[in-house]
Amino acid sequence: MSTLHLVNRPPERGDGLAAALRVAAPGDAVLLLEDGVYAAARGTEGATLLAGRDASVTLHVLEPDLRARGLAGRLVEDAEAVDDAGFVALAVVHGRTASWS
Amino acid sequence: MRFALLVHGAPASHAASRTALRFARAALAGGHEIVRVFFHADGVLNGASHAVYPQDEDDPGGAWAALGREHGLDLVVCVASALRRGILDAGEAERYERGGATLRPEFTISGLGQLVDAALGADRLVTFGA
Amino acid sequence: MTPPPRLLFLARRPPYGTGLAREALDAVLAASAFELPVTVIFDGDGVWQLVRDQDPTGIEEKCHGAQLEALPLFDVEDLRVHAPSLAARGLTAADLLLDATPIDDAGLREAIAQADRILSF
Repeated sequence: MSTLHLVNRPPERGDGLAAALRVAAPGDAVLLLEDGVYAAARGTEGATLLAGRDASVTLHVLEPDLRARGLAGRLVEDAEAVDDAGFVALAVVHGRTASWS
Repeated sequence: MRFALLVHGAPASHAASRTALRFARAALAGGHEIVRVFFHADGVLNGASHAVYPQDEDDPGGAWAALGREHGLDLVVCVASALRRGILDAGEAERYERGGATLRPEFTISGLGQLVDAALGADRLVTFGA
Repeated sequence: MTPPPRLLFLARRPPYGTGLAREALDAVLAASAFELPVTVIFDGDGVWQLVRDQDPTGIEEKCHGAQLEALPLFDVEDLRVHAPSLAARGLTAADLLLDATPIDDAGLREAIAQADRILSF
C-alpha cells in the first residue's frame, strides 16, 4: 500500500517538505497544495529538494493553488498539475495519506 | 471510497478549510462517500454561526453548512477545541451560562471519539491544515 | 477476522507555542479508549515535547511533559522518537522524560508503511 504525502508549505516556512521526502517510499506520491505549491517553482529551494527525490516518487501540484499564485508557467518539469478531482483520485489510488506542514 | 476528513484550519486564517471543502465537493461529485468531516483545533471556527463575510467574499462556514444540508453530511466540531474558542451549541451555552448558541445548526459538537470512529469507519482519512 | 486498523499519530510541533501538541495528545487519549493499536511518533520539532524538566508555571500553562508521562497509564506505550531530529537539536535520549524508542528515517518509513490511518498534528 502506497502513501500520498500532502505538503502545504514551502521549505522556507517549515520542514514538512523535507520530512515528506525523507520518508517517501518508492511508488509514493507527493502532492503540493496551498502554499506548498511554491516548492515546485523553478529555481527555489523546494525545487532543489524535490530534484533529489527517488525517481519513482511522483510529484503533483494542485492546479487551483498554482493558478491562484500565478505559477502556472514556472513549474519544474516533472510536476503534474492536478485539479480537485485529480486530488481525490490520488487519495483513492494511494492507500493512506500523510499531511506535512 | 469512504472518506473521513480532518480539518485543522480556521476559515478566515488558513486555506485548509477551503481546500477541504473543494475536496469534499469533488469526492461527492465522483460518487464517493464522506463518512464525517471532523473539525479540530482552530478548525472548529468553521462552525461559527455569527461570522459575517463581506459580500464579495465566500464564507467557508456557510459553504460547509450548505454542503452539509445538501448531502446530509456529518459535520462535527471537537468539543474540547470548540469550548475553548467560544463555539457552543444551545446545550453547552445553557450549561455554561454563556448566552446563546454560537454553532451553526448543521454542525454537531462531539468528542474526539468521533474522529477515531470516523478514521476506523472510512477507507481514507485526509488531514487538512496540519 | 480482519485486524483492527493501526492508527499512527505524527507529532511534529513543539509544545506551548501553539495548542497543537496538546490537541494531538487529546486525540491520542481518545484513540486509546478504543483499545486499538496506536503508535505515536515524535518527529521534527515534535521531539521538543519530550524534553525533561519542563516548567510552564511562568506561562500559566499545564505541563505538557507531565501529560505525556501519563500515556503508558492509558496503554499508549508505542512511543517512538526520530533520532536524527533529536541530534539536529542537540538532544540525546538522556534529555527525554520518557523512554521513546529511537527510530531513524527507515524506521519512520516503516512505521508509515504499517499504519492504516495517519493523523498529523
